[in-house]
Amino acid sequence: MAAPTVHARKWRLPSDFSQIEAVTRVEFVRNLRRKRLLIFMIIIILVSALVLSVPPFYGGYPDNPILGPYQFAQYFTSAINFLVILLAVFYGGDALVSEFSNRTGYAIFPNPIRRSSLFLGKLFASMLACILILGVYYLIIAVSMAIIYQRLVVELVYSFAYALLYMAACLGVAFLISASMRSTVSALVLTFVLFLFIFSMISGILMVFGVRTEPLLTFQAGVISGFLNGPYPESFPSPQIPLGRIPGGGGLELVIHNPTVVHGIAICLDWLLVSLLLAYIMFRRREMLG
Amino acid sequence: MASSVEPLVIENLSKSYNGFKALDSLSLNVAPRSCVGFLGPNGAGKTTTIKILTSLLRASGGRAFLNGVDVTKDPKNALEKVGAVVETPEFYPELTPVETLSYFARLRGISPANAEARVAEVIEQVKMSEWKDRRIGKFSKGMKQRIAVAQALLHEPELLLLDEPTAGLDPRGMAEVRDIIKTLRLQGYTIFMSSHLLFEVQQVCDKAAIVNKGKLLIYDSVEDLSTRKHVMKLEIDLVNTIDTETYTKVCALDGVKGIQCPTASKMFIDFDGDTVARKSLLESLQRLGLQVYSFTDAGVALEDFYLDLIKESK
Repeated sequence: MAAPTVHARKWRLPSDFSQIEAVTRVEFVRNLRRKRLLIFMIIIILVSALVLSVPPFYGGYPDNPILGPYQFAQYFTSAINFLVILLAVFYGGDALVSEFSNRTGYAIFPNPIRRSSLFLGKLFASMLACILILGVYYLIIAVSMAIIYQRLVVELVYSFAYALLYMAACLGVAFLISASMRSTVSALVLTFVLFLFIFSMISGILMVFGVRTEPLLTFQAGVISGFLNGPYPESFPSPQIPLGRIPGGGGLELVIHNPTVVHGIAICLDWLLVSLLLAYIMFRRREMLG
Repeated sequence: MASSVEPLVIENLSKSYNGFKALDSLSLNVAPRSCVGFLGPNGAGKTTTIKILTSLLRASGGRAFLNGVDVTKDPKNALEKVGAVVETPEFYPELTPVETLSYFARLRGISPANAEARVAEVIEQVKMSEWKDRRIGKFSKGMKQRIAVAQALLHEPELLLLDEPTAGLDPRGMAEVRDIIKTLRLQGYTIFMSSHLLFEVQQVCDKAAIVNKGKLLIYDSVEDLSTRKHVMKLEIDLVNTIDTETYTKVCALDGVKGIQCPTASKMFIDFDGDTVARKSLLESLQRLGLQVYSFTDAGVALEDFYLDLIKESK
C-alpha cells in the first residue's frame, strides 16, 4: 500500500460571498436546464404572437400618434401579472423545500456553508431566471413598438423596473411558502392558489365592502400597466361602478381603486423584506428529518 | 474546551423529538487515524448522531467537536475538514458528476485548476469515470452512493463521517465501498462509520461503539469486543456427512459448548478455547472420521456479544 497521502494538500475555506456566487451559478445553470425555462419562453412567444396578430383583424393597432404606443404596450402588460405569478410559482415555490423533500440537502448541508449563503444563492439564481424571462418579454414589446411606431416610450422602462420589483416581492412570498411546506408539490400548489385565488377572493370581498385592497400584493400589479396608461391614473379611488339595483330595494356599487406608484413600491418592498426574512429564519432553523 | 487533537469529541450529546429521547447524553472520543464503527439496531440513535455532527439536526443538549470546533455553534468551520455521507443523498438531477463535484469543490475552496484534477481523481476512485459526463437524474441508487462517497473524499478531509455507506448498494458495490474505506483507513483518514452490519464493522473498523435507545452501551476495540464472550463460532464444512453417533461424540469434545448442523455436511460449533485448543479440536474431528475441508471462524462472536448487549439494555 502506498504511503499515507491524506492531507497532503490544504484548501482554504472560501468566504461567504464566494460561496454565494458558487451557489448562484449552479442554481442558475439548473434553472436554465430545466424544461420550465423552455416552457416560459414558449408561453411568452405565444402571448406575444397573440397580441401582435389579433388587433389587425379588428381594425389594426392603436393609431393615435401620442397614445398609440402606450395603448399598444398595454396589450402586452395586461398579461404580466399572470406571467410574474407563474414565475414566482415555478422559480420560488420549490427553491427551498426541494432540498428537504428531494433529499438533496443530505449532500449539500454537510458542506461548510452557511444556510444564509445557500438561501441567498438560491434567491439570486431564481431572480436571475425570472429577470431573464421578463426581460425577453419586455424586449419583445420594445422591438414590436419600435417596428410599428418607430419610437419607444420611457414609461416602458419604468414599467419594466416596477415589474422586477413586483416579481421580487412575489418571489419572496414563494420562498416563504417554500421554506414552510413539507413537500415540493404542496409548495407549488399553495403558491399558485394564494396568488390566483386567495388574493383575488380577498380583493373581491374587500371591494364589495368598499375597503381599500392596497395591502394585497397582487393589487399592486396594477402599477405595471398604470405606467403605460398615459397619463398615469392618478385618481384614487376611480369612479364607483353601479352594478344595478336589486329588486325590492338596496343596491350594489363597487369602488375600483387604482394603486399609486409610491404605495406600490412601498408595499412591494414590505412584502419582499418581511417574506424573505421569515423564509430565511424558517430555512435556517429547519432540520433534515426523515 | 475539548482537545483539539482528537478529530471527533462528543460530550453529553442529546436529542429529543417531541419528548422522545433519540439521543441520551452520548459521549465518546475518536482518536486520529482510527476507524470506529458505530453500531446499533434501527432507531438506536446512530443516524441522529451523525446528522447532528453534520449540521442536519440541532442538538437538544451537549456538544460535539470536529477537529476542535464545536459543530453545534460554528458548523461552517467545524465541517471544513470533514467529509460526510449521510443516508443515501440525492444530487441535483440536472448536473453531471463532474459538475456536481466541481460545485462541491468550489464550496470547499478548491481552486478551479486543482478541482479539475481532484474531481477526476475521486471519480476514478469510486469507479464512475464512464458516467462522469452524464446527468445524475438517471443514475441508480448505487451510482448516487458512489458520487456521495466521491464528494466526501474530494477535499481530502481529516475526518470521514459515514452513515451506513453501503446501504442500497448491490453486493459488488458493497464490497467496493468497503475496499475504498479500508484503503482510506490505511491512508490515514479518521473514519466514524455507522452501520447495522456487524461483519462490516468487524471487517473494516478497529474500534466499535455500540448504542441502543440513544445511549452508549460499550466502546472498545473490535478485537476485545469479539473475545469478551469467550465463545467463538466455528464454521466447519465436511466432505462426508455427520451421523448421530459422531454428533454426540463431537458434543463431548473439550471446549465444545454447542453444535448446529444446518445440513448434514456443515456444522457450526460454539467453541471456548485458544488457538492451540482449536488445533486440537480439528485433530479430534479428523480422528472421529470427519473429512474436514474448511475450518473457519464464522466471525459471529461480535454478533453474539452485540445481541446479548442489546437484549440486556432493553
